[in-house]
Amino acid sequence: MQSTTTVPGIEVDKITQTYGKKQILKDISFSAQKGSCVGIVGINGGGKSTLLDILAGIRRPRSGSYRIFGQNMFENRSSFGKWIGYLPQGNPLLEDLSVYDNLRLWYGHKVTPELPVLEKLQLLELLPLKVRELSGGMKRRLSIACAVAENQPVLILDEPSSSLDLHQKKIIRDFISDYIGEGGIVLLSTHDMQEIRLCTDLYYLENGSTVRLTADEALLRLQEGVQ
Amino acid sequence: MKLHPIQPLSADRKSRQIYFELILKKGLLSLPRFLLALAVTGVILLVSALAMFAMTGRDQLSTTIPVGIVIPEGDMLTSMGAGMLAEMESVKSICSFQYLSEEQADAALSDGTIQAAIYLTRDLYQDINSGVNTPIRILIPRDSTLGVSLFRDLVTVGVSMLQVGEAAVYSLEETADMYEVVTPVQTLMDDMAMEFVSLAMSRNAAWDSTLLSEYGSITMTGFYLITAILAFLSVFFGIGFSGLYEARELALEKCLSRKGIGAVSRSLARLFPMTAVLFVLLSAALSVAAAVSDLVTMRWYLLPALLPAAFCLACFIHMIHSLTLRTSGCLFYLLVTVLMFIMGSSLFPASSLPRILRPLPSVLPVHVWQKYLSDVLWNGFSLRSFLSCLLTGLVMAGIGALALKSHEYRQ
Repeated sequence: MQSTTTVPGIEVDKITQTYGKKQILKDISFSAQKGSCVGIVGINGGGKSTLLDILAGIRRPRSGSYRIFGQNMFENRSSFGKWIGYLPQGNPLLEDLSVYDNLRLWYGHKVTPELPVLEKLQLLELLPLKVRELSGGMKRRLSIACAVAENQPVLILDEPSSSLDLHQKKIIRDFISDYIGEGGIVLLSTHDMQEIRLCTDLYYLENGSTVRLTADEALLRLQEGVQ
Repeated sequence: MKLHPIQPLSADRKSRQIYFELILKKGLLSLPRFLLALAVTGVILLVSALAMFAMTGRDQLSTTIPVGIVIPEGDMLTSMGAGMLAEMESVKSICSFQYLSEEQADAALSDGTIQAAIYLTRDLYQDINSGVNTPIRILIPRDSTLGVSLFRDLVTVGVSMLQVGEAAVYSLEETADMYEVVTPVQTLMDDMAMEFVSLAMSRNAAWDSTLLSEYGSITMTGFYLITAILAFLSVFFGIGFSGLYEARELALEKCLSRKGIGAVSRSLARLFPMTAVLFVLLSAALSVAAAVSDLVTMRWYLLPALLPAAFCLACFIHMIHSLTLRTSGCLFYLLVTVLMFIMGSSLFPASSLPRILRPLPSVLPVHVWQKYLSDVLWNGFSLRSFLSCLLTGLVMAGIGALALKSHEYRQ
């Protein structure tokens, strides 16, 4: 991956969000370099999706700043799509149409069998199928392919492999590893042990604040949360 | 992988074009399945209606009841009166008279050949004129059918009319006596009786000449024709197009907004196929109506003038489905639409609503559609109702777009 700058890839500084009187996020700050994976873990309803929505440009925070390669993202909301690929919790797909049609929505007329992402996510054979005929894992892989259509340097994944079988999880994990390997930055929220181990930095989100942890500590916290 | 330079992003024309194309494809793909379901529903409804019709007895609704009428032999004036009565539209639509003798009428009534019998007395006409209250005997079976019940009501109304007539004639006689009018009282009474009878017999003409309707010179049949077409299109196709508003595609709404395809574009992408399909169907329905009846006349501006109506109808469907996108609210859509038609004075007059609800029908979309179509079809194109239709559509489209926008922030 070629970089045009030496500043940190992502700088998140004191992001705060409230819903009514309830504070969802309190002064969230972290940074990430090229070729790294930042994991956001925590119990359900802890604010992970809200944080990822803000970082993906879906919502505006109450306060805080957010830079990607030195550019203030909140000042130019329209640049989010070019810099960041985003996979929300649900699949952003047109269910009645084919895989090919869905890819065309995001890639335009560039959808050809030679498109590398199709091979990486094993989507080639699925091109003529209708989305509603696909399994959950296939839909998730297709959603990831749609998310990276603009070849963005940052990829935000909201629970990319929840409730998928081991084979599907591995395909997605391999894709994330390749993406990081090529110098991309991945931000992901997850409960999956293997995905947690992929992360170079891990933040546990609790009561709206983040605590930096190692993978083992994060897993322990998650288990405690379950108990 | 190469980094993109920072540049303002709004969806390029090609992305929007592809999105529009895909939504159109999605809309059209769902149509054959929906039409098939509609055809099956239509057949089931038709068979059920026919079965019900057969079970409840077709004679109750579709045929007139035989009524025996007994006139004393040689009484020409009473015969003429009965003949005139038998020719009245309101009488002809309910009963057919059979002229019988008293014995024949008794026998026919007991064996069920006739369902009611009227026994007129000799010199009835002269008795009425001279103020003698000669009773008329009418026999109606106790266990009556719908037709007989209607006949009984008709008789009651007829008797009331005669009583009013009598009162008017007698009051004239009293007044003439009181003021010692020079013209013979009998002449006055005869003239007045004639006037009264001619007005009472052609009572529909009185209504025709004083017809007041917000919808202009629309007939009752015309009103119900456009109401039925609108109800059919909004209910059935509103549900058919619900596939364009699926709750599971909320994540897609989110991602499209990031791509620069905003709520307005997403609304337009849905409105376009819906308007096109509704326009074709509305045109087809009215063309068929024009072909099979004199009710609708095809004019050069009729078809293009249907476009705003189709657009406004599509905007209503868009608004309701966008508001209920998170719940995939087909049931909600159905409820709102049916309620709108009921409350919109399509089935019964607004005056029958509670006082507080009476202004409601005039602000409902169905009223705007009915007004616009009645103008286009029967009163001539009206700029006012055209603008009203267009603006109502735009307001509903705007509400729908705002609802879609709000869904971007939820999941």
